[in-house]
Amino acid sequence: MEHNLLCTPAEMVAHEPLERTACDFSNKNTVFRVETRKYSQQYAQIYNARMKGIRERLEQTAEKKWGIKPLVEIASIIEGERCCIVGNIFKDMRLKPSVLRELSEDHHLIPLPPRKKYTEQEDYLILEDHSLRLTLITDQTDTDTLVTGVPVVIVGCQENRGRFKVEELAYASILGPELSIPIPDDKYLLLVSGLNVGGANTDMLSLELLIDHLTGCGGGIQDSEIMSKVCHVIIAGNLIADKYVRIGKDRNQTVSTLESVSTADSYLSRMVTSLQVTLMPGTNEPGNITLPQQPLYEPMFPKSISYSTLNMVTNPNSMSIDGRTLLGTSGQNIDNIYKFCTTEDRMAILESTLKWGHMAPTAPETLSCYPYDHSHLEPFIIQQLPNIYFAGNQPEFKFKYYEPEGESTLLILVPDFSIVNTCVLVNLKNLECHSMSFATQLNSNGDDNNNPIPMEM
Amino acid sequence: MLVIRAPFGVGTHVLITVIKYTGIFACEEFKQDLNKALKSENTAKNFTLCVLDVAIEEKQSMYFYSKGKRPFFRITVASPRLVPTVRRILEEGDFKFGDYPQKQYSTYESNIEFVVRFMVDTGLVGCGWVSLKGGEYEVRRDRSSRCQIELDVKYNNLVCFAPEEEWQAIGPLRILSFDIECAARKGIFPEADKDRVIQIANVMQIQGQPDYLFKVVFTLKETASIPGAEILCYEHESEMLKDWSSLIRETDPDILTGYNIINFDIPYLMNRAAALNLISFPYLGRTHEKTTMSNTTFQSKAYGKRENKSTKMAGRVQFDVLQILFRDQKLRSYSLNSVSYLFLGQQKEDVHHSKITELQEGDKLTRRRLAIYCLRDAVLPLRLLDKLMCLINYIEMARVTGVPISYLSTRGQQIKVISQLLRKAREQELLMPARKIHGEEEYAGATVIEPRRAFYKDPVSVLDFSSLYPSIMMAHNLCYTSLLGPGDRSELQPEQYIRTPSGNYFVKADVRKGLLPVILEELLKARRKAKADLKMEQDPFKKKVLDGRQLALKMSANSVYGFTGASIGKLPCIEISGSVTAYGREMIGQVKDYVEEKFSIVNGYAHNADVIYGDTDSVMVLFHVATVKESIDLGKKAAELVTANFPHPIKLEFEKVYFPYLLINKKRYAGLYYTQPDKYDKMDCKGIETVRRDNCTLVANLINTCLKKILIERDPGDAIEYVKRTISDLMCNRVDISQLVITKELTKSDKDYSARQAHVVLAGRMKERDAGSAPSLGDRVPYVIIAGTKKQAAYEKAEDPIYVLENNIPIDVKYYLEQQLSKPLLRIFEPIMGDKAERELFHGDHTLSRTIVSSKAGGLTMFAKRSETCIGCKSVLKGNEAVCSHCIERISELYQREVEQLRNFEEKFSRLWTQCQTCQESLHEEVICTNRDCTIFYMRTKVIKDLEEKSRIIGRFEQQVDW
Repeated sequence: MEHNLLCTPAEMVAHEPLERTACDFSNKNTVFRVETRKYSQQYAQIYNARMKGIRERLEQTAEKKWGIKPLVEIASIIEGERCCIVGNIFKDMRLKPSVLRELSEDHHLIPLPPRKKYTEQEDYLILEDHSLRLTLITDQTDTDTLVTGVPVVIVGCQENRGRFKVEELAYASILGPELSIPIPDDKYLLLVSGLNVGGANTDMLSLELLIDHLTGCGGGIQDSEIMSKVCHVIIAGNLIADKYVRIGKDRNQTVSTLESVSTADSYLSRMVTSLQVTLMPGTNEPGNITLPQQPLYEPMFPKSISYSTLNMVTNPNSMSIDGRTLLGTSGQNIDNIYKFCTTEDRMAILESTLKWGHMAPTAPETLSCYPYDHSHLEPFIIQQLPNIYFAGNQPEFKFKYYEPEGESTLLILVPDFSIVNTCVLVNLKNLECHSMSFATQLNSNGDDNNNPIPMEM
Repeated sequence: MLVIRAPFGVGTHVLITVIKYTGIFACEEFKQDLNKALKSENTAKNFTLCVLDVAIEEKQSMYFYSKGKRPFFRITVASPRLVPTVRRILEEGDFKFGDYPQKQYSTYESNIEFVVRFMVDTGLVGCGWVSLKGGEYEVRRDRSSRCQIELDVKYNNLVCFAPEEEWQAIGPLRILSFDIECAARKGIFPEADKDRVIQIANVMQIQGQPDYLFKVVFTLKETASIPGAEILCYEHESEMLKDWSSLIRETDPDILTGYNIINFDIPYLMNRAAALNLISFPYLGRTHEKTTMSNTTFQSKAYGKRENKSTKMAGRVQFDVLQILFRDQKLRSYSLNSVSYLFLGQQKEDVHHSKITELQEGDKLTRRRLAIYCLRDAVLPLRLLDKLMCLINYIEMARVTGVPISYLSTRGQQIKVISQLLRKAREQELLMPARKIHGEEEYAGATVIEPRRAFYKDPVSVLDFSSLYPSIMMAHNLCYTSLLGPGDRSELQPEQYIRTPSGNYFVKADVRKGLLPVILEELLKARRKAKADLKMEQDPFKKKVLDGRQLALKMSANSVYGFTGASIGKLPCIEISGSVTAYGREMIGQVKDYVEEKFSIVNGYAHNADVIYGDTDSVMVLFHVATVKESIDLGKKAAELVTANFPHPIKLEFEKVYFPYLLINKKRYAGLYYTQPDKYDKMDCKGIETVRRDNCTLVANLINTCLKKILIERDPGDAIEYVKRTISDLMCNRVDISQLVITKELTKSDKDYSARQAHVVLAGRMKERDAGSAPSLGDRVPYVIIAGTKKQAAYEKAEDPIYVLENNIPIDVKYYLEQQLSKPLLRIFEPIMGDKAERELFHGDHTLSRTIVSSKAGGLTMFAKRSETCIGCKSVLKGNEAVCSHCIERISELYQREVEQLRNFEEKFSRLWTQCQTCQESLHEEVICTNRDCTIFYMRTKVIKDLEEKSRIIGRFEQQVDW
């Protein structure tokens, strides 16, 4: 007999209480914590730290790939001689937003609407290290896909007039994920982002359905059984609704943050009673905006914070659950790169950041980040692939297995729940990945005539 | 001897020596006596024969109308240097020859400088082409210059072409742009006799070609390489300068350019070479002549008085972009930074001269950084020349007016008129008298119809006489040659001459057509052609060239009138200039009367038209119609009807409609400018936006925004609200400090000023704080006015904006309100709000709230102990926590309020500092730019302060987790 919502109470067979699966969670976010904040240092130090942190691996790539040792610096290039150089990319873009233009020109004009993308045909690449800048002659595809800040190694030859003809371009070698300890039984990790609790247009029904499901109050027995195996929930940003709504040219505040924070606290408190939750800040949360975003201020969540099941973490964050390594962001890195490259495929962008060995190359250029100084190792560099790598608040759910060699990494675009009412379930045993949608007829476009709670498992 | 250089294809230069040329006119027989008289003069010492020839020629004076020719003596002397002496001898009246009595002679054309004289006589124009026929010239064996070919030719064998058709081409001119860097001592602007030249960057371009021919940087001490440029490193400065001098000779540029090279780079190099005893250095020209330097003063009505250095470099034109901009553009700041931002959309990194020495004394990498910087400063002038089409426009101007191109940037308007006048006079065998300058003669200027000050919400049509003064001169044949002297009228019939409104008499064109009208006709015809071409042209760049040409032609036409009125000019003629303005005044009055009479209810119109304002050549008519279209139609009709009443070529044109129109005062107004019914072209402001530097940018920005709100959004109420908001921001310390900065140049040291001035006193104080970064002579000093004690004098209240930011010093709100904002704002708002403007804007409710900033510097602050206060209720706390026990309930709310501000500062911080990286074109180098002209310069310092302060507060919250 099927046990689902359509069966009569009589058909419901009493069953043993389900036990919530436990897991071993550890947060490794220390690298993303900024304890004392100083602002007298400049951004140049980040780029130098980036080069310092990644140079050795770029050199390894070059020797393995082309059998050449890169030059010490760009300045030592000899015109006409084939050579190999290391540096960070700078993409020269005319359309790149400029604060100077906005401020000093007619700053009373109606501001241009933000563009979806800032790329154009005339963009070109420059390679830069501590010594020099060098204009590159590359394939269009490189110009299209690369963005400012990506550390690369290049083989090619400098032509006259100071431009460098690129033969081939490569990135830092990266270690595969650690071999993980096998997990015998199904054990789920739930990833969700963009809940937008407490907003003016928030669809409370689907939020309620989500929490009912998670706590075993919704769905049938089978659903509850599966849900009981969810050992951990990661909220990858934007638990709280954006207080601003764009109306015409102005951003108008529609709801008070205070209210939405408190609504979110209530909502969260219901989740943390029966689940381990990791909360990453996103752009909407009241907290600092530059990456890495620091854990949210606990006194803002008086109801939830008393539970030890709630973990306040940074964004980006790196953690481990039962030996599975996770690395992820609330999505700002992907959103930002998206604006400065031509590709529409966000999964490709997510994958690129792994290939580049850098989570957020456009920081600080177009993505604001803390001005790290020499004494820090740049935390956005990826030394080793995680088992799971995700980005939150994306327009749609997608996943992919990235396997350069050996162990594979599961890449996930975690969708914005407020747009698609979908969250993501990952089976930690085998890294299988599914979406789970809570579309309701109340807010769907009306084409949804089937089961009001489609569960695509 | 005269040296002309003409490009014969790429790379070949020909020197033509013209023999047996020189001239002045006077009497035949006295050749011997004049020679004798000259012998005793110093200037003639080296000549065995001074006067070569005296001949009688039948000519006419151009001043006053006269019939028939008279005999003149044409005196040919051995050297142009003798001309002024001859002139003096003849004009003084002591000279006597043969049997004739002693008398004062009038000389003609003896005050014309030789170059112009020669070019007029041969028909050569600036930037024009010449040709020599075979057999008429000789090739010189022993060359006297660095040109590849040298030819000797008699001056009358020189064939000069008018710049038409194939002769419009521009040769492949070689342009060298350069920039030097000097190692200044701490706190002192570099001085040539003490401070080394450490780098010279050079970029060469062939006119019209997109790529540069080469980029080369001369550097002192080993410097790391730059791709695309050659670096030449030297151990000794002398070697470097010598090699640079030979670079000039070897690469042989036609044009030297750069930014401020005339007054800085070239004199510095010359003086430095002299200080180092480099005998071979000052040979930078094309001849073997030594390059010399002198001081010149240039004074002109249009450009004011200017002192310049002038370096004579035979065969090379010095085309200083700064000088060009001084002449052609009215800017708030002429620094290369702000100019390149304005025209190229590119902010330039600005390295303070004290920092330059630091970079030079670092290693080869820091010197390379300097070299990149130096090179950029050499490239920018070329890009500016390209962008602004300076060279092409100047070549056009040289050809139209016939003067050498170098005159256009170093001389005034008069010389251009003289050149054209002489050319025309020559055709008609007329001579220009060399008149002694009389004292100032005054004549009435243009007329202004008293403005009816108001804010007009109905369309206002503007009717405009096109080229008013030139067309008056043409219509009434006003010229030196048509001017009637006191007794001349008796010989003429009354219908042969006219009387001008100023009471002067001129013959009509059918008796004798004046020279000036002919010149004007040609200029205006050329302008019409340029304008027609402009309409047809699609290419935006060629469009700019044509626009430049038509503007140049317009300016030339207008300067003809100015020439006749210039009392210290070569040939002032008050009869002409006075008549021109008298006609102008009369005509404006006639237009007013006619329009008001014709467009009236009596004549079947719905309303009586009113002329609300008129100035010089335009009248503004309020037809009282509702739409722009009706106003345009009536305007066109009125223009047509009025034009029919005036002689050709005077033409009243409908120019534009202002709708709405804010008429503040004479020459001060603003309006939305319509030339077609449905869409406005632009917002037009006259005499309102102030480019004066002693105003802070807050004024300009505020006025601009208000005008936009009033005129474009048609919401004066919103404008008033905006002013109130800004004033309130100012009082609450929310205005960005860069908007309050006032800048003045430090031209003299403290003791040279008679009265103590704010910026000078401040410069002194800054020197005490840090001699290294303090402004020195020639620097611009930016400052803000800070709140001082009541007794403090104004000049003591100026302070360095950075110091103000760092020490949280309160600014003097009262000063900014009363001295800066009040007048310009009231001017705009009085026509709208009437008398209550001042009360409402400056004393309303919005002025009640004030933030008092407590300074960290000076006063008692050093004795005060600072204790933390609760973020919520400001009560004093014992520890370092964020809020007190009463406010603990609100901790989340208070935190959120603070963190919201933190976010704004964070965002601002990262946007501002990444912008600086973009401008300096490097991500890996620390930003060292100190460009105080840049909008974000103060902001980026301020944001660090704000961010650190806010982070500290957030830190206090984080400590207080035991809530």
